[in-house]
Amino acid sequence: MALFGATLIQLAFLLTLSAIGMSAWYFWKQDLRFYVGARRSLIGASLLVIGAALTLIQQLLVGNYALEYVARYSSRTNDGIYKIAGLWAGMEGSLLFWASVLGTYIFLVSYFNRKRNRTLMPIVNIVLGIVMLFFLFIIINFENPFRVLPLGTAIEAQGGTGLNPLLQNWAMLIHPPLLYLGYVGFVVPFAFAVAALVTKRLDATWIRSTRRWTLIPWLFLGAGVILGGRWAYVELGWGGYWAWDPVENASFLPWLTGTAYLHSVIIQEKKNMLKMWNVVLIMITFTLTIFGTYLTRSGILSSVHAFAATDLGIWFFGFVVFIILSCVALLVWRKDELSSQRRLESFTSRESGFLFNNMIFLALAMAILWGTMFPILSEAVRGVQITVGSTYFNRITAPIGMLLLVLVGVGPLLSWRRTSRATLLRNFTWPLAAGTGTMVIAMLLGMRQVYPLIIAGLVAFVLAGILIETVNGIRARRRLAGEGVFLALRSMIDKNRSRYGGYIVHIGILCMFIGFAGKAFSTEQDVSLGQGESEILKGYTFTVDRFYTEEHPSYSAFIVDLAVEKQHRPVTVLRPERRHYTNWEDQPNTEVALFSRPLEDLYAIVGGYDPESDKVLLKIMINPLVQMVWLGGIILILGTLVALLPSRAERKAKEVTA
Amino acid sequence: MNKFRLGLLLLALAAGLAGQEGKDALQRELEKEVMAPCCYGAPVSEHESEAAKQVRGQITQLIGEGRTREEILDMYVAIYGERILAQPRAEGFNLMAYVMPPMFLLVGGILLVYIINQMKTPATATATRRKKTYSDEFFDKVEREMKEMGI
Repeated sequence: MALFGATLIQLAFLLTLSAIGMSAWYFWKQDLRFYVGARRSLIGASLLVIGAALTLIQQLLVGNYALEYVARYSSRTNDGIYKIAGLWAGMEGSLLFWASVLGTYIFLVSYFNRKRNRTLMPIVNIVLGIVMLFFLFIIINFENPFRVLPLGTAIEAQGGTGLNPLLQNWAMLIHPPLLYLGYVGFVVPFAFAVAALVTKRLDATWIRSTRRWTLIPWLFLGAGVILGGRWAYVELGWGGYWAWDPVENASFLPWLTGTAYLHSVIIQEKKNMLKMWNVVLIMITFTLTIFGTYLTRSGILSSVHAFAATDLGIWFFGFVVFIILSCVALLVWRKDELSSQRRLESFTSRESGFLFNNMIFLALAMAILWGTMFPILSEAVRGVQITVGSTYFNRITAPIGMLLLVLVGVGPLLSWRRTSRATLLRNFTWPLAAGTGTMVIAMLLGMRQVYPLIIAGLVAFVLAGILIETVNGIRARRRLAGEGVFLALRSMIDKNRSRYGGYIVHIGILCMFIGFAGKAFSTEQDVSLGQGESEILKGYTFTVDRFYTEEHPSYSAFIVDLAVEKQHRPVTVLRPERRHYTNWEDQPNTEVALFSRPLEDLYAIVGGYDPESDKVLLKIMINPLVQMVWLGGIILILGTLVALLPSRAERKAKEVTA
Repeated sequence: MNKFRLGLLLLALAAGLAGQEGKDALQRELEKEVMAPCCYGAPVSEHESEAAKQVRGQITQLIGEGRTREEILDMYVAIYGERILAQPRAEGFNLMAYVMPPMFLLVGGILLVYIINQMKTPATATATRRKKTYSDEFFDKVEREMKEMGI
């Protein structure tokens, strides 16, 4: 099977190469047979890569420990489901996974565009082919997951090392695939942008054709980032969900620029403006996805997420440079075609609002990128290693995040083209009153921290704006169509899914900001407790009932039963664990005990056991409003789905054409 | 006189409690500012390694000895280098780390105001009317042919 898997990858490489060659030939000779051949070759290559990934999964599941990759990232004691996670646990498998996700996108793009975008598709195929070729080249020459171990190797005999215990969590089964689906998916709108530039089809057609192809990776990336936060919260045991780790940042950057792009394309769709800007934004977004892959795999930055340092860095860096130079050359080549034919009328217009929103998204992305890369810069310039940690990022991103929140509220209150003074006054009065009122009430209730106060005010401001807009829309529909409230709401959303889906996403973001503000009120305590001893924290009494050891096939666990009471009423029993995995003795693993209530989380981890005093060391935390972060994530996903799904009119039109 | 003594006693007690609270706050602050020297992957407040535990203990001891925040941080920098700090000090070259993010915002804002002003000026006739080029004709032809071939 090792030979089979490796052959599939090599065949895929050859087919991709031929697809690119045939596409180029088609352009030179204008012979359409070559276009058809190129498309079929690329689809064939994609299916072969997907086949190779499935072969590796099969090898992981059956436990073929003669394969070096299977032996390193799986073991006899791993559960079947975690054996599948082995596919993305190591460098070789994850690159193959990357290529197979790209293959899936290529297959779907080819299928859905088999009778559409005929002018753009040949170039789209070339771009997708080049990206695929790069990854297959890396896999074949440097990171072959089908390498066979020399006979009689110890690791094979013992039945594999097994998956890193940190990755043995349900969130880790979903988080990496989602991130990959997001990362890789941005290649599709990028390829269409390049195709639009080459063919000079720079009207809104390519934007409309890729609206869903952009929303889907954006959704996957967003969901992946949130799920990564959830994994960090329940697995890493430090009580937080976002550590501003370089690799976390790398996944967040394309999401930010992708968000800016999703907003600015609305202007091109509606007003045929910002052609250059949209092309640049999707180019930046795609470049950042490859740059993120480079950060994770080059070993230039230390991170809990990074793979071991390899020689791949130079190749990825070269590819990033190639992408940037190609994009710049294309933009210069087509700069005359990119100039807008329509003009902005006023600063107080929705168009300007979108532009400011874009600028802040980009500034935020630049600031995060700057902080992420600063340790490298410091070492290069001064020869001094420094750390740029979460304290720094929280400090620089918080004010920019607030500005962004302001614009989330202001944007929808502005009219297209120009907002008159009377409209400004009418649209802003209630939201401003709601924001100010909320801040005053929060202050009267004793809230004194600056950021939580501002967030409370801004959340109320944005929410009031969305509410008023929605109520006005319902009223108008009721007046015009005589519909009931719910029917009016439903048809209003159905008629403008991207707008109202966007508003739902905004509500999700508001929930997340409320969750972020809650961090300011979290409490934690390091305690050393013997059996029967208690600690009181924020009105909760934590009592150690007992501590004991449990043996499992792949690990032994030291467990503490921690009874929690409030006002003499039992609340729950927390069971934090400290695990020692058989093949990972040097890496004790903390299993967080978490009890979530609507307004706060009770969170405990075991730091260790002191045999002299017969006491356990515990870290206990009470984290308010963390649930709002996850709730916000769910609302964000729902909002995106609303924007993604076709409206009734679209469905009907499709039925008619079918 | 007894009331006066009681008052003094309560005052001393309050000052003692406030002092302890201040020490705890400083401890928490320092634990967030010093990285775990084992891997420099997280501050000692979040890290559970032996090295991180050791640093937490040292910080408690140093605060107990009456050392100030800056003295303690200086001591760690002297032992491990600047990498031990969770965020770079805003001085010298490191100042750039703090100056650039607001600059991105400022420069971006100024640039945007300029661009919007430019976009507000009326478009010239040449920009609005684009001639059909050879490339357009070629792609129109390709599209026609592809439709004919049913691709």
